[in-house]
Amino acid sequence: MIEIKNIAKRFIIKNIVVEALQDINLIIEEKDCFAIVGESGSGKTTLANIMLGIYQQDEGDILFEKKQLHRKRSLYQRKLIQYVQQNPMSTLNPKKTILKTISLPLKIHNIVNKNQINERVKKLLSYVGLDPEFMVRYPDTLSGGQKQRVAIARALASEPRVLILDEPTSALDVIVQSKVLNLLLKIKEEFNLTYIFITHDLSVVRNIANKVIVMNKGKIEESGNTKDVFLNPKSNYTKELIKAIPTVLEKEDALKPK
Amino acid sequence: MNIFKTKYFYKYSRNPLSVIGLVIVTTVILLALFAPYITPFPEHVGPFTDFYNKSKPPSWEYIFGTDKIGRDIFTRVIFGYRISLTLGVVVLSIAVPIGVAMGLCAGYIGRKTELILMRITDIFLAIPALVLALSIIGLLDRPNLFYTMIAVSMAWWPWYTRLVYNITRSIKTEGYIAAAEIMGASKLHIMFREILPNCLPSLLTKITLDLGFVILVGSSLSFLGLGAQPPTPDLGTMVAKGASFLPDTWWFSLFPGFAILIVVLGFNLVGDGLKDMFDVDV
Amino acid sequence: MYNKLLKIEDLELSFKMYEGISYVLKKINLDLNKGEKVALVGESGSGKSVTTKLILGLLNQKNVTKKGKILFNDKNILNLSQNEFKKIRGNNISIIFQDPIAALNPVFKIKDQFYEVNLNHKRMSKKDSFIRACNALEKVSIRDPERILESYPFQLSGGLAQRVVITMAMINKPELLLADEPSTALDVTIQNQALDLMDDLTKETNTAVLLITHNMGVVRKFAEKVYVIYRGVIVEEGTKKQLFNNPGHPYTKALLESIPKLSGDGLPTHNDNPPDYASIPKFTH
Repeated sequence: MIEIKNIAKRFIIKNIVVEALQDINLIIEEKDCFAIVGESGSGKTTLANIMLGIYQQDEGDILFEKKQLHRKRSLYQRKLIQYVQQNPMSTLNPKKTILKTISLPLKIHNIVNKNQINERVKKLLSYVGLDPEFMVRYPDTLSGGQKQRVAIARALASEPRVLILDEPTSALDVIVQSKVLNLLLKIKEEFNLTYIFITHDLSVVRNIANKVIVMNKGKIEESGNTKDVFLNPKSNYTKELIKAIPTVLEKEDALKPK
Repeated sequence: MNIFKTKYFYKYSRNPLSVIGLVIVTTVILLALFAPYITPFPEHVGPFTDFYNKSKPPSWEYIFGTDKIGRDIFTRVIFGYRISLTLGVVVLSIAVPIGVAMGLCAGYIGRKTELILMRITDIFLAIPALVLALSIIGLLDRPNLFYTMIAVSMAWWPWYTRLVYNITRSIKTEGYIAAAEIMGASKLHIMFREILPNCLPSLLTKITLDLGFVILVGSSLSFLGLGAQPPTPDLGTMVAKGASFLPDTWWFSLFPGFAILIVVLGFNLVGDGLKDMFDVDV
Repeated sequence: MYNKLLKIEDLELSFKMYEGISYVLKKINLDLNKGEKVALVGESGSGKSVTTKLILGLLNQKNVTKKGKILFNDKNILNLSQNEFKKIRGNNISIIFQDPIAALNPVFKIKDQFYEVNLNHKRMSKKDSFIRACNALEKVSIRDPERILESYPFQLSGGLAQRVVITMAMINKPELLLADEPSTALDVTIQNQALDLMDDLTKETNTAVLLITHNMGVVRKFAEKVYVIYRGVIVEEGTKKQLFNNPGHPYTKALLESIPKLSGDGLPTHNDNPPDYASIPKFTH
C-alpha cells in the first residue's frame, strides 16, 4: 500500500550537514500496524514528516497505492492519509469549539452535506467515547486524554485509510494511555485502517504492532515481524533498547535478552 | 447570559481603575449618541450667533460658558465628542483590516511576501504619525475631516501589521496549524479561521487603547487647523481657537481640553484593564 | 522519631478560584528517613508536584490555603519566611526537574549556574567555583568538564544536561533531594544512566531522595519505599517489594495492569466505570 524507496534527507545546520535519513526502504501493507521505533535523533519523526508532506525528501520516492506521493499532494491523497500528533495540548485550536474543529475535515473533503455535519460530528465523538455535549466545549476545559480522543475523531472524519500516529499516547498518564490505545485498536478493526505508529515506547509496540522497524541515527537498524524482533533481536542496538525497558514484573525481566 | 456575571468581567473588575475607565467610556459614548436630546442648545452646533451672550463665563444656563460668538460650549463639547468618536471608529475601521491582513500574510506565507510586506511596514513605521498625517493632508486638496481620517489611518495600520505578524509567527508552529495544513485546509482558511481568532485578545486590547490615541492625534491635527472645519464643533479646534484668549476667558480652552483628557484617559484605562484580563502584551 | 528527616503530617492544600475552591491535597502523610529513597507515584492532577513546591516554600500566592505540618529535621517549615527558605534551598534541600534544558537559564554558561549554586554553600570567588565544579563533574565521569562549563545549556544533549543538573543539585551535599520526573524527558537508554548517577551520588552523601513520578518502571528501579497518590489522597504505602508483588489498593492494581507488558499478551482491558479510588480507604502493608 505504501512503498518507501531509498529515502534520504539532509539538513544543513550552520554549515554542518546532518544526515537525518539514509537509505530508508520499507513496505507497509494494508491493515498493518506498522511501528517505527527509535530514540531522539533516530530520524523517525523526520520520516513521519516526509510521509505527511511537511518535508520533501532529498532522494527517493514514496508510493501510495502505486502513485507518487509528493510534498504537494492532491486533496484526495490528503483525505486518505490522516495524522494524530504527539502533544494533545497544542493539537486543538483553543479558540474553536470541538464541533468546529472536527467539522473542518468534513467541510474540506465534502464528506457530508452542510445540514448533516452536526449529526456526523456526534457520531464521530461517540466512536471515540465522548458524549455529544462535548461539541460545544472549548479545548481548555478538556483533559489530555479527552483532547487526544478529539484529535482521533478529527482524523477519522475524512474517512481515511491510513493513520499516521506520532507518539499519540506519550504525553498521557498510564491509565489514560492504556484506554486510548485500546480505543485505537478498536477503531482500526472497525474501519479497516492501516496504522503507521511512531514511538519510542517498546512495550506499546510489543502489544499493538505486527511489524516494526528500529531506527538509529537515520538508518534502519532492524526490521521484521514484532514477535521475531523482540524474541530474537539481531542487532546489538535493538538488544540494548529492549534491555532498557523499565519493566514492572519479575517475569518480564526474564524475557529480556541477556 | 448576564455579562456582569461572567468570569471575564470578574477578572476585569479586579482593578477599580478599569471599572472607572469603563464608566467613563460608556458615559462618553452615550453622551455622543444622544447629543441632540440631552444638550440644552443643539442649534448652537450649526451656523448660529448670539452676540448678546458672547464670552459669558460658566453659569447655570451655560454650564461651560459661551464662546466668542455666543454659542454654548457645553453643547459644542458634547457634539465634539461625536466628531472625536467618529474619527476614532473610522480611522480604525480602515487601519485595522489593512494591518491585520498584511500581518497575517507576511507572518504565515513568509518568504518573498513576508520580505516585501514587512519592509513596506517598516517604511511607514519609521515616520512619526503626526508628520505622516500632515504630509498626506498636505498632498490633498484642502483640509477636512475626511482627509484627516485617511491620513491618520495611513499612520496607524503598520502597528497592527506588526502585532499580528508577531502573533502569527509564534502560532505558526503550533500543532493545530500543522493539523489543518496536513488536512488540506487552504492558506486563506488557516490565516483567517485558525490564526486570526487567536489574535483577537491582543487586537481588541490594542483597538481600545488606540481609540484614545487616535482621538488625541486627531485633536492635535485639529489644533493645527486641519480636521473638521467650522462651524462643526471639534474639540481640538476649540482648544486652538480659545488658546489665544487665555487666561481671561479660560473656559474657551479648558473645557474642550478637559473633555479630550477624559475620553483618552477612559480608553486608556479600559485598554489596560483588557490587557490584564486577557493577559496579553501589546 | 528523631531519625525521620522529613515528616509530612496531615498536609492540606487548596486554591481559591473563580469557579470555587479546588482541594488539591487532602490530609496527606508521608515520611522519609535519612538516606532513604522514597517514591511518590501518581498521575497528573494527583498533587504530587505541588507537594515538592510546598516543601520548598514556593506556593505563597494570595489564593493558596495550607494546613498541616512539614517537619524537616523536626522543624515545621510549612510557613517559613522566604528568607529562611533561601538558606535551606540549594543547601539542605535540593531539587531536579523534568526538563534539564528548561531548568537551566539559557543565557548563562554552565559555569555561571554552578557559581550561583556554590554561593549557597559559602562565598567564594568565580575561580574557586570553577574548580569546585570541575572536580564535581570529573568525579561523575564526565569527560572534558572545562568545555562543558564553558558551554551554554542548549549546546548540551538532554542526557548530558540532566547529569550536569544532578551534579549541581548534589554539589552542596544536601540532606534531601527532590526529583520531579527526572528521567521522563530522556530517552530510555539515557534514563538508566541518570538514575544510576542519582543512586551513586546520594549513597555517598547519605542523601534522602523523594522521587516524584508516574512511571512505575522507574519506581521499581530506584525506590525503597513507595507512596501512591490519587487526587490528593495517599491510597497506598509500602516497600517496593510489597507494592509490586502484592498491590493492595485497586488504584495501584489499575496502574500496574495498565502498563503494556513485554510478553505481548495484548493490552489490558478496562472497566468503563472505575470506582472512585479516592473513597476506598488507604492500604498500608
